[in-house]
Amino acid sequence: MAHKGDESAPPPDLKRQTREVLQNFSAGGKLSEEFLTEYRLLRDQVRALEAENQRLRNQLETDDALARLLAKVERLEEERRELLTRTAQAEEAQGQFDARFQEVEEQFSSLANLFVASNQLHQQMVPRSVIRRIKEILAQLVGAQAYTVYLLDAPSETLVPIASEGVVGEFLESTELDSVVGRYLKKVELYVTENHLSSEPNFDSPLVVVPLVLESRPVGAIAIFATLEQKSEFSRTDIELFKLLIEHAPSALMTAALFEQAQRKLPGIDSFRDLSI
Amino acid sequence: MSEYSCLVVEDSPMMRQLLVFALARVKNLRVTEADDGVDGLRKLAASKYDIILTDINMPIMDGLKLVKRVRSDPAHQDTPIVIITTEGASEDRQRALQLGANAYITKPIQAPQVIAIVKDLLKIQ
Repeated sequence: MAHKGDESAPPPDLKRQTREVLQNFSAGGKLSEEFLTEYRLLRDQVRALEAENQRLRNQLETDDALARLLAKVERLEEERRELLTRTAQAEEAQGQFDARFQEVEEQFSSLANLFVASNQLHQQMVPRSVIRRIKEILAQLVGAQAYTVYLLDAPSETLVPIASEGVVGEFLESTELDSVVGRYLKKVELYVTENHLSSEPNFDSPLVVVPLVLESRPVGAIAIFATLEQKSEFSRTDIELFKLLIEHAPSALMTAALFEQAQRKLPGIDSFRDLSI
Repeated sequence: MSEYSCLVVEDSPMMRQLLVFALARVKNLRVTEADDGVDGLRKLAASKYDIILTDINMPIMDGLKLVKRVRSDPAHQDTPIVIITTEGASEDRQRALQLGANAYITKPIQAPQVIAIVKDLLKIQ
């Protein structure tokens, strides 16, 4: 219990000061709490902003990657278009090459036929063998099924059949120069039908007339009346073979006939002197 | 690179020459010629061939007899045989195929067809 004049009791100023200090302390604590709250708020905001920043950065990176990807796709598309163009060009070139190859093959085949025909005709020195070769050319190379080889008998102006295949009876007899065959011979003109070929012979209307000519003189003719069933038209090679026969067949035939007439004796060297004028 | 051998049996010198010309286009193919079936058999007895091309209509021994003889010989049982025939001779063609021929070519012969058949049977690219 405090007594009046007790020296241990605090002076009134001190009480007031203590109160003020306590009040100030309490206000400081409150302020500190407010600061703390503010600090936490700001910290959360910083975190949120950092998260947003990170998200935006990620977004940017994604957009950049997408842009790069799109550019790459565009480049690949361009490459694809270029490759397609090159493929089309290569295919076109291949097509042209194939066509050219086919053409060369056909030309080779045609030349081989012509060479073999000519070679075989001129190798023979017996008329019968020449005729056999002519028949082989017509049957095996051209595909003729019915045909006649005529030689011209000039004094009687008739065409005399000397070989034939698939031709019978009256159609194997001699024919006049004013017949279909004779007319083409007189004109020295190769006749080849433009109609579809037939395996059924029509002896009044030959499919082909090949005039046989020696030094511009008509000496005979070949008439084809029918071809093999599978043959629908004459090829370029066939036409070339007909042209070859025009001069090569009579030349080979006459050479062989003259050689036989000379009793297969070779001419002496005198026959060949002074040839290099 | 392996070399192939081919026997051409054909009595017509013209057809033979034409076949030889066509077959010259097949790389590494050595061609031997025979005049008829008997000559063909003689050449087959002397050496082995990778393929045989034979005409049907030939004197002395025709192509059908040749096919039969070749197939009955164990040495040539598996040798591919191509017969050469005319379009009309369908019976001969059937008979030859029954006897063991592998393929046929019809006259007038076309070089590209001959080459294609030979390459196919010899499995050449």
